[in-house]
Amino acid sequence: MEQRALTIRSKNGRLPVLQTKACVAPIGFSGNPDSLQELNAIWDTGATNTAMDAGIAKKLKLIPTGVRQVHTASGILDTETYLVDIFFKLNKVAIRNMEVTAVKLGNADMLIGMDIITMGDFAITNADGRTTMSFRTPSMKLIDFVPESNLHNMKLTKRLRQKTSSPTKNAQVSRKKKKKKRK
Amino acid sequence: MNEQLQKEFEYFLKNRDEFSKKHKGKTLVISNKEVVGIYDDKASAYNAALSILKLKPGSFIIQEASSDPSSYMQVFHSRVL
Repeated sequence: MEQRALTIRSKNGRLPVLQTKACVAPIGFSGNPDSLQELNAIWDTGATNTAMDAGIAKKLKLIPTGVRQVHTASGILDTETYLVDIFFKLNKVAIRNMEVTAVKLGNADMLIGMDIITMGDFAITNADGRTTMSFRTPSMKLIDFVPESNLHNMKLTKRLRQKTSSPTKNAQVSRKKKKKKRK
Repeated sequence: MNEQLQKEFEYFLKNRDEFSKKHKGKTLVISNKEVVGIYDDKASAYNAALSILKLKPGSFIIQEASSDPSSYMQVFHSRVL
């Protein structure tokens, strides 16, 4: 199976929001995704399913194919769902036959929910203070930071023990260094 | 929300336990408060609804036959809508 991946990386600093450009079309779309309207999509691990703004769905003339009960902090409401194909322009990642829910979104056109995130591998790292988010589908490998961290800590402890457990040896080394300097 | 779809959904909710027992894991096409098609997945159900069942787009709903609430519920933990 072909693998697809996309990565976003901040130019500098940490990203407060993981946001990518995405395009949406009714399922079975066979045209060029470049011809579709670009939407701002936020990657949201707090959303069980992918959602799009109801106004955008109307504008794109999507036809409802189902109904979902949506639970939010403000209560429960029934809302329409659409079967769509989603395209990320980054590296041409396509997610086909997705059911998205129409909701009122204030600060984004779309939320990429856990239904898409769990289709593959998803990682956020902050090396050198720059946020990098990477996603690939299908899943290829388990990523677990714990064994790497444990190994790192073990080596660190060993080094500290070596330093503190042999003060005489350390003193000898420093004396030798002083002698060399004098010469 | 579309009134007809709301009625179809209410019919689905009322009968979901029975649908789950009879067609567990399958996808149902519901129109006029009746299950008019049973398929393996949502894409097949949608295509069949239009091409085989000749239903008008927007006049039917596609729902998974499952008693698991996550099949018809969606939760937003992080964003207020």
